[in-house]
Amino acid sequence: MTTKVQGATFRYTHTIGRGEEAGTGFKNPVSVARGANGVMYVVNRAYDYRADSKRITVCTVDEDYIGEIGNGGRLGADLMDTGEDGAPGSLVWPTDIALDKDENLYVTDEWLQRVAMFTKDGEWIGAWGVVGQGDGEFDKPSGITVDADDNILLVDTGNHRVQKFTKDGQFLAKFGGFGTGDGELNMPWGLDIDSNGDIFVADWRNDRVQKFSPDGKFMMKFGSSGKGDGEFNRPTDVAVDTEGIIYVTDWDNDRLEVFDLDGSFITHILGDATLSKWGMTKLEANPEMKLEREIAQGLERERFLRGPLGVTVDDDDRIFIVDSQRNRIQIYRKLPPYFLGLYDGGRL
Amino acid sequence: MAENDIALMAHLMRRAGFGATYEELERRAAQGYEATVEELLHPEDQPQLDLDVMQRYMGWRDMGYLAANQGYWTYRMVNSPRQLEEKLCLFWHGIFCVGDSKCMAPQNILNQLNKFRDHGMGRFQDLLLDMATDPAMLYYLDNPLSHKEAVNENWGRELLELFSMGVGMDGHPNYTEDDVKACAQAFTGWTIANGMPRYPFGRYDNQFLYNRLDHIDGEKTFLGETGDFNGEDIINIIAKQPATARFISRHLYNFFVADEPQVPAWETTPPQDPEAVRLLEEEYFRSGFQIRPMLRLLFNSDFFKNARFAKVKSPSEVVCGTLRLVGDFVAPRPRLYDAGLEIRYMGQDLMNPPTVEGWHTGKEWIDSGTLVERVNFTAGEMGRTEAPGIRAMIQRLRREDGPITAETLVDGCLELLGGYNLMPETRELLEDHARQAADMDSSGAEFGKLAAQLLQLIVSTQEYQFS
Repeated sequence: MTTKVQGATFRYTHTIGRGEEAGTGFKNPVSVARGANGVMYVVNRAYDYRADSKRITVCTVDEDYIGEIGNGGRLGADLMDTGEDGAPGSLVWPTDIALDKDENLYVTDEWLQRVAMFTKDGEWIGAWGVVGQGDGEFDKPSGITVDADDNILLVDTGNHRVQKFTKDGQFLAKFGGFGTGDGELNMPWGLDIDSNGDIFVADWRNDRVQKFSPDGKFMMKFGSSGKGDGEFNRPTDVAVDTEGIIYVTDWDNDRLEVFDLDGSFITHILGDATLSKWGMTKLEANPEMKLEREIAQGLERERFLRGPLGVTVDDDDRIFIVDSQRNRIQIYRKLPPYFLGLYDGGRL
Repeated sequence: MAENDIALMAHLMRRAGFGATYEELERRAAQGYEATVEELLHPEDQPQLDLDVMQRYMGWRDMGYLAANQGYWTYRMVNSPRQLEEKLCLFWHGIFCVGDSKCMAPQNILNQLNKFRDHGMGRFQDLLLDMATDPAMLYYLDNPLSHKEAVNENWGRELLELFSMGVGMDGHPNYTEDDVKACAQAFTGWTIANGMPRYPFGRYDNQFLYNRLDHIDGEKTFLGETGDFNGEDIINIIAKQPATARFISRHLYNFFVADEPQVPAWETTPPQDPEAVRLLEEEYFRSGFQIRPMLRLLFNSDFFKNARFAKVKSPSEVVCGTLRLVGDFVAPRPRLYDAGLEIRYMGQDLMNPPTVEGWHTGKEWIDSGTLVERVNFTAGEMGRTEAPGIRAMIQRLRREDGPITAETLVDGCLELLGGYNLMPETRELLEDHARQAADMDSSGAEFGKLAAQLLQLIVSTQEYQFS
């Protein structure tokens, strides 16, 4: 399926993942970060009744499995043990992930109220975070990203603001605050920084996206509550590509919305998922599941996004949509609008 | 404000909801009894629970696990501003039973519960049609296995026996085996579509499907009427039966007013309050088979107001009522599911009843094991002096003007918990314990501990097991 838009065309490329409590699959994935050489770090929030499934899956864009990070030592433990003790490596409500220049991992945890740090090989570096409302304190850290100076921007959901820290947690700056006015936020979630250093925040409970300058000054907003074009039902994450096109996961409307630089609506993507490599492996090993698919009615529903939580774009204009409730990532590529010739009897 | 107004409001909120804090009772008593009843009867005018927040933190939209769904529903029962909507959901769940152990599709059962929320106060035949097209129900009662060449009578039989009319009343049967056969034939072809596979991407809910090629067309005779009946016609005939009026009225009486014998005994055992049931039956017909007017009549009646503590609390009522008083089960957190498990341990495995007949209620809730579960849970919760609800109760019990008498302290505890009365022997024991506080400065920390102990003792009594 190819979607035509003004100035850009989005082509579905493939789907990664399948529902698994461990190993080659995801469970309620909430966020993805892109490393070097096609490596992906996928945060699995999972569910509290299967605490052992909370993990970071490391794999490639081509769906080769590399390994898992997090919840170290708790595999096989009491399934109802949610790890509330906050032991090193423990993840309870992991929410978002970012990489610094050395590809160290920074993972927010809204229950343990900390930013957990791992090396790309999964070694525990440590964690930082103080609960509170003061400068540098936070309540339910969610969206996280690293800026060009290798500092961290963190969404402080419970205090309805964004804070800036050094990598080791020293407070640098803040903006936002509770409300519906320009520059005010209501339980914000995901965020991203564009190539100018401007900051986009998914203003979750205000059903809009807001743009701030690098020093936190309000610049613009777009979106309102609803199901129509350009409207949102609880936007969860935002990503901006190299040209400034803005992608927003519109959670409860089960879609990705795409906006132009000025916030005007371009198009939406409902999902085009096909069987993933891991998915096919599962079906090949289980003929009865294959049969179940063959006789299923309404199989076309399988392609749609369901509760998308995260979106990220890479420098190759690939768009990764974290399709949370379907335990997978749908990947699209933005094609440049170059004229390639007229269609002429099969010759493009 | 008259103490009796508060006690009556406590009674109403225990029955039409899951109980209320003293602060809420005061507010509602000031608003007035009938006004509160009207508010409860119109959940659509009340704010919704913040389900988006719960979904954000608990991921509850597509849960595929029974214990998690039980936790989710427990949270809704405790925190929904629409208390009667949630209570009625529990009421219908106990009648239109489907069980996770057979369905293995928790999402389908959650969808069924939403139908109770949406139509639970509306026309009874609409609710029956909801159930007749509900994938969880159809699967639970084998209707997808009912074909025109080989009719399966499970759904058709239970629709009459357990969902609408009951086997009999006043000593006579309500329908015949031929009626069951005709009913089952009329519902042939009411099935569900072949489901989406769970693997590799997760669960999808199932869809109702009417397969006319598998439906038995032609004349059928049902409850004295003859025609080419399909399922909807059957439902419309059922809705207008006096037996249906009786069955629904008696269920409402049993759930909201006073414990009746178990349903199988209803054919031969008359209602304990025939006049009350007759009034409800009349309202059923007068209103065009609507549940909301029946509930209005019930809650405003003397037979309801005079029925304080005439029911044994169900496990859901014990757990949710206690958690509403304790006041810290109000935000998402890990282990939220544990509260749902407590209800299970007390004998009510929500969304997984023992049979299609549902749970036996009243005294059958209690045995030596479940009673211990009740006491352990409620006493444990009441002892949490750091919880906001317990703190608030202790604060109210404090006296600025000096020591507090044992009698006043026990009275205060009973009133704050919802106007309970104790047997004299029990009360005496509590007062003996409370006498330790005779010289106690009620502003001190030790007083808080003692007050919490008294609350713990009260919720451990026989009387607290009644609603």
